[in-house]
Amino acid sequence: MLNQSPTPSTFLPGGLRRWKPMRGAAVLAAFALFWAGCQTTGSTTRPVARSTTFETLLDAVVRIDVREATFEGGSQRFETGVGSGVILTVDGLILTNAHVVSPRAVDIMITLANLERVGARLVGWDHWTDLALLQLNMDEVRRRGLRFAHGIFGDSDRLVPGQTVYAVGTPHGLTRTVTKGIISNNNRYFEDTNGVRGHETGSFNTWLQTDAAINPGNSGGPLVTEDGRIVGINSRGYLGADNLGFAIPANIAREVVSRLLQYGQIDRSTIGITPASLQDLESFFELGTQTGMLVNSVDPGSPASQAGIRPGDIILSIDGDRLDARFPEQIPPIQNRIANAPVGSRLVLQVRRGGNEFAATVTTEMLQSRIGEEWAFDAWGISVREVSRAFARENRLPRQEGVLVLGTRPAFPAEKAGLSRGDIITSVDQQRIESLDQLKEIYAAFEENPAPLLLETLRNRSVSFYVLRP
Amino acid sequence: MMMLRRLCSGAGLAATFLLFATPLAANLEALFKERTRSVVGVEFFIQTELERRPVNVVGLVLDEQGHILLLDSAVPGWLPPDQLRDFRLFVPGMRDGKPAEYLGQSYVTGWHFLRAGEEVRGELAPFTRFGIGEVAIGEEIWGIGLMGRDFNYQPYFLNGRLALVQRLPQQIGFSASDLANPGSAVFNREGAFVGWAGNPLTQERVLFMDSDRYPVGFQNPNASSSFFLAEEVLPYLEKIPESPLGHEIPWLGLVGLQPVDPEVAEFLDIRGQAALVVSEVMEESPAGEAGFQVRDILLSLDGEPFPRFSPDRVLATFFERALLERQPGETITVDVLRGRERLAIEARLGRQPTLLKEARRQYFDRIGVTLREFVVYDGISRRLPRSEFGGVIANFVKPNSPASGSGLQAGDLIREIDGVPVDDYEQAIRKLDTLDRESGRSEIVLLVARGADTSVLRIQLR
Repeated sequence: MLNQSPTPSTFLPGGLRRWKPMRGAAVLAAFALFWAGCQTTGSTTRPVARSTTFETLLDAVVRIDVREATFEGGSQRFETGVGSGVILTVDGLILTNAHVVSPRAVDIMITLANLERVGARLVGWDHWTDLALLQLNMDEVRRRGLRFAHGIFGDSDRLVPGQTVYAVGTPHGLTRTVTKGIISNNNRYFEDTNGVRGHETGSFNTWLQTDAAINPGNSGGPLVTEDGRIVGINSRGYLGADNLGFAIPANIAREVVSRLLQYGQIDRSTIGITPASLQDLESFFELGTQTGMLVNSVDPGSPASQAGIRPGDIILSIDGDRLDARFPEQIPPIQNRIANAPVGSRLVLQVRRGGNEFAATVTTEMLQSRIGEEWAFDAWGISVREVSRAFARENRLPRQEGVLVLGTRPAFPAEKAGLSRGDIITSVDQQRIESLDQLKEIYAAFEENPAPLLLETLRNRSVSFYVLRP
Repeated sequence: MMMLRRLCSGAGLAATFLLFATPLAANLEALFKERTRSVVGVEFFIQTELERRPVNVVGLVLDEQGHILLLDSAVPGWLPPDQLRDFRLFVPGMRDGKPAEYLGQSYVTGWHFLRAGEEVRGELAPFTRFGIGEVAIGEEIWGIGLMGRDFNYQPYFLNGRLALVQRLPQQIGFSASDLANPGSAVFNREGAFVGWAGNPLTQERVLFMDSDRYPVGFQNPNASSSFFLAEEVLPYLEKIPESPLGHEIPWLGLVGLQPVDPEVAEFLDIRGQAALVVSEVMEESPAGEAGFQVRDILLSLDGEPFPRFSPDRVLATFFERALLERQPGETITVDVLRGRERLAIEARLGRQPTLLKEARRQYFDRIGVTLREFVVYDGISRRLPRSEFGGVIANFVKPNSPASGSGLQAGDLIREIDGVPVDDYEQAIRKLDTLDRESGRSEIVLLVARGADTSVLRIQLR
């Protein structure tokens, strides 16, 4: 994506950067709503009498305190964050944002609306839709006889622009905040290649746009209708703008929840293209109206590239089903069509190039994030990330191998050897490093028997050697 | 501001010498005055699509034929010579400039050459006229500074002492104080030429603000405290290019040579030996044909083991220059360590592919873009495999033009113009020219690559 769309690059995940000044390296952004006041102090602060369902919803919103590992700066560290979420079921499933709780969480503590605190575990995580599913420690809940309410999904497809909605959360640490607004747009499209803590997001969903004030701190909280139905999960705001907030639609969330519950993650297929809308280019490409999706970019080495698809091609149909991507918001359903095909399936694409048309068969591969597994080797004073396929392609590395240095600790062996952030370790003692696990084995052997190691790295495009001494 | 301060200190020194004149000091003043005409002020203009920018530098007078030597940094070497306009020389203290001709640059050192017009040659004093001198550590050396153009390039005196001589890989002398303008001359106490002032050095300083420390780099662009020793300059009296373009430059095709540090050398059982690692071997280059591989460790050239330098990285420059000193077609032998194996590789040097400054280009004013021929350098800098070399480069995009409105940026690689793949430069120019002239056309569609992405851009003509 170069610049066709005015939006994606300017979006920031709610809470990410704004919070930095206030919390140092902290990342998480949202606070839970305590509408607990209504139970203990009576109804004097309640502005309007609402339906029971709305009250129930408020009782289903929780605060999430997370402690999680980070691998910046050459070592494993822990940072804490706060977010919010909403309880969905009687067995304590909680829906929140993927950027609130990630697989790196080591400690998740939930504060219920009645101010009781109870632990939880991560059930499933999907950064592509910025959703994460947690479950309360139900043994503890039963033992302590804790009670909580759970929310009910509404139908986000039936939302209409102008309809009143409420966002619940803790913007800027102001707990128990309910803000009111309308649905400003019910089908907004944007992607963000590093929106969820470096991970990609937004390719498979559109967003609900609302003017209900959503600020850093609202992340993970629900967007609800007047009758208390959850129609979205508040996720991000447009920094520097007033009242441009975005939520993941409930109907997307519902499906994600059911798949996360079943598999813990969502495996998606990809063919390695970046699609774009046609936007009045039909006449240029000599197409009938409402036909086709533009291929803006093709990942080198991807299935689409191997099948001979090039940027500038128009995909007319997939397995005989005609595509219509005249407008950007029509793209996510098409992306989902590809993503939902089992990994390794063969798709027949009808492709238009100039005046010619041809069929191309592509075999889908597993969609992967560009952020690989991260780790820290304490004795070396170095933190690393496995080089992913997407990272290798993006950076035009000769091949997918090695681990990327995220940081080094001053005066530790790696830093003393001369390694620095951004280097890719490609071999150790002239043995190629294909995976992080391989480096973990070498590290284990080093810890057992510390001896100098010859590291080969790629920095930008230059090959260098370093000696790492115990 | 800088020049004004420079003037004050220069004048102050001169005044001191006048007041407390000793025979030796008087002698130094005479030497200084006599030698000021071995340097000249040089003005020229860089002409781009939209603007004309003046550049002012200082040059060294080489010989009686009026040849002038300029530092590599004096003229942007990547600009095509036809964008370098109206070279004029200013004899120190004179108001009017005299025309000069740009002759091009040395592809070994990057130094540039001018030739003064005949009418001014008689007023110049080649540095060789004053003899070539030597200087030892601790001895006094002095150089010539020139004021700015508004001060008529008035010469002023600067001096210091030789502090250090270092091989980088050229022999470079350093002083603890400013010696001359970059590109000006440095002499010893007896007035013999000892060197040519190099580029300004960046000095490390620490800035304290409140209680915080900030490391900063300081540079005075008008003063140099280092100089190329005379022995580095003398060979160039015989290497004056005749024209800016069309040089046969030798080429091997090894990219990203990195020094092997002594500790690593020890690990690789080549203790005490200077060596270079190959990061990339260009496809279809002499190096590729000779069989060089990525991660090969180079140990010698034509049987001569590499000398040691400090810092280690100077070796890469040394090796590259050693190749450039040869001729295309010459055969070289390099000893290589590959894994644990040692082998000698013979390679026949080829000819450098088209340089950036040689690339053809054309500006389309209405669209607001300059298209430039794709050169090998473009492929390397974009990390393209050889099979993807091609297209044209958007070399310049005019602000607020249809081209900039489409999102096109300078440096973008244009792969297709209106659905037609760009095969070569001439075809691209023809195509865009046709579209530009087509009446009633409302847009031009480009397929453009930037970084790892491509995109379809639409230039709205109205």
